[in-house]
Amino acid sequence: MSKPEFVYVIYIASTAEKVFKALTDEKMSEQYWVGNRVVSDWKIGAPFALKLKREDKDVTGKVLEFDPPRRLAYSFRAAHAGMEAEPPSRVTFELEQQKDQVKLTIVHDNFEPGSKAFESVSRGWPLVLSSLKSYLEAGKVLHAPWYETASA
Amino acid sequence: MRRPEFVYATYIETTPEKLWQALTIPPAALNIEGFDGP
Repeated sequence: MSKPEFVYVIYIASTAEKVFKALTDEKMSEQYWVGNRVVSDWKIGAPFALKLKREDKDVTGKVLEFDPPRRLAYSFRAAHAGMEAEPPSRVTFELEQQKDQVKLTIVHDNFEPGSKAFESVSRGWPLVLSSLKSYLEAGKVLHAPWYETASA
Repeated sequence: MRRPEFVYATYIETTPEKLWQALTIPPAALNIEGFDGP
């Protein structure tokens, strides 16, 4: 059985600097990431946290790469919903400026076969990244009805 | 060897009706001035 890997590409009419800023800014992430917040000082090896609005345990990790506005990577360990036993996975963002738009590629890998976290993030990333696109292009954010009702 | 398959999900702030129109109405068939979507 091969190791699962999540890959997603989205094009955003913005600049690489703005996309990179949105990916690393706590206040901006709270807007488009259904109330969750990315928190780190973004030094290599420093702690990374995704503060989950609707869970009592945060996603934690470490900053692996920080190369604005081109590459960002952090390890990612979820401790809620039965995922605490899994080893950390890895999230990598790659930004490529193409004229007036940005090609944003996210790879989330280093999962064990059968990983529950893989299933969870595979459902979450399309919403979060669509919301990021709407946020940067139109100043609007999207919602995750399943997420908001499941934990309510 | 598994047959390759491409799957992609995106979320859009619109209605299913408007999205359906955008997916199915060829631009040449549209009376652009009278078309208020998508």
